[in-house]
Amino acid sequence: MLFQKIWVFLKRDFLTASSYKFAFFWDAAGIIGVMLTFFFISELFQNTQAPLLEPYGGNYFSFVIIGVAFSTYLGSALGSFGGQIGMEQGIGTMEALLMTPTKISTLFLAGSVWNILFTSIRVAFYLLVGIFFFHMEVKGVNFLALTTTLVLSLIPFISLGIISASFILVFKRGEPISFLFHGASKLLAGAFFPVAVLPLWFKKLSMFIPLTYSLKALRGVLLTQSTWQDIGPDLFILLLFSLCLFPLSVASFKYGLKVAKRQASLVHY
Amino acid sequence: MSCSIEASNLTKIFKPSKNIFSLRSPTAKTIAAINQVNLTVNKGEIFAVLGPNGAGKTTLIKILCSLIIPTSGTAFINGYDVVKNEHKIKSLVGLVIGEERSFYWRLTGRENLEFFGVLHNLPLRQVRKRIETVMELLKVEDPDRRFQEYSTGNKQKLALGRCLLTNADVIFMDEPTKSLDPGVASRLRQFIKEILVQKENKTVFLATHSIQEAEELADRIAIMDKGLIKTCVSVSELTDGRDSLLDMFKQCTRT
Repeated sequence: MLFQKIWVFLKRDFLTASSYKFAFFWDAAGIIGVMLTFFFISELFQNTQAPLLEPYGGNYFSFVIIGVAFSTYLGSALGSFGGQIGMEQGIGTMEALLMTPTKISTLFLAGSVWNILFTSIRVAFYLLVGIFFFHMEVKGVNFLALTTTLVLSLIPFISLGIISASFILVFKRGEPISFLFHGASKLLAGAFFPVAVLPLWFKKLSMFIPLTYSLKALRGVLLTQSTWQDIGPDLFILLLFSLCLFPLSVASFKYGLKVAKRQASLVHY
Repeated sequence: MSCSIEASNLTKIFKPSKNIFSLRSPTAKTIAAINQVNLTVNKGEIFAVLGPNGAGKTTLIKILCSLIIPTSGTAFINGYDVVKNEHKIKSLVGLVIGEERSFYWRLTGRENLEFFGVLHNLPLRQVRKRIETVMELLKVEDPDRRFQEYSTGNKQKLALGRCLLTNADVIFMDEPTKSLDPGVASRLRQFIKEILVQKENKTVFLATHSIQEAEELADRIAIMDKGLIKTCVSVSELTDGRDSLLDMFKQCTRT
């Protein structure tokens, strides 16, 4: 039954997204625009020594595209759940969904599949365009290590997304999680530059951000053929983030739902 | 006769939200949306709650469907507590919302029903068969057109169709004929009475502000105003010729 539920959600989201055909075009154009920007920045520094990039293979373009591409997972997970709730409240389908005997956790899981799939396609598009058109250097990838890193990164990202959705349920707009984690993560976790560039107290803050460990492990797997031993400590910390954040997110969502039902504000937006 | 819906001292109070950052003094008052409501609805009965706008009808329905938590009091559907057994309640009840925004406008009628049918734990193959039956029964026009292109009558039929897919025992309807033309409204009422109740023995709980609709459909009618149930009469009492429903409504809702 779970697979059929995931299937109908996928079908709903695909049909809705594909009915806005022009949006697909501009999304792809946006990705190419970002890549061109970083390509030319990287060209600017091509012949200069950047010792802080050495642990990542030394090529800034490859470094930054991985940072930009994979941090979209965080943005997508953070926006996905809150966005889904906001959308259902806005278009008026929230009560109809909650009137079904499907568990909230299933609604969330099934409802997020399209977003994760679509983000994966965007990430693959980034990498493929980077490799084939901008000479991005990706070396002997261990796909099992890559998948494990992605899964262990997605759990804390999704948990933060569910906590953000709890705020949307109660306050409708202006949730703080996206602001704190999305913007700050890109700055502190090293999406655009190595964390080593940051001053010490910024570096300390970056240790509390899951994206820091995700990007470190992903760059290791994709750019420098890191072994399981190399990425093991990062995966362990991501696992700890998952174990702490996921139960917290479920509890916060249950509480948010209870408050919204008490306030009779499930359909307000 | 067994009891389908039972509410005892059901109360919902809305307090103004305390915004500590607000510079203005609070103007909103505490409102009792429903106040000490007691009612029982028997299995296979059509029970109408009649009341003006803001009487508390929708709040009452949402509490009985586990969408709002009451401030105090208890309510049971087929013996299950609406607060404690929320999951069970959702497999027992169906809700027909007069709100046309409860569907995905960029999907077709059929795709919408397929989506909600599967979320009601019906296998996809079974949902597809049922959709055919329901579309035929309700005479939904153009099931493969986008919902946004439907007429108001067709949208309302689809709302009823969604509810019929699930075989719910107890059906709640909030203004089911709102904004329908008289012909479609009359056929829908006939369908509710003859098929849903007389043939399939479902319990129907209806909220309306139309006196004609309440009289035409219901076995018993409760008149509600400002969160209180002012009176509850059976249609047979009305036809005995004491007061007309309109007179009673005027008396009960006089400010």
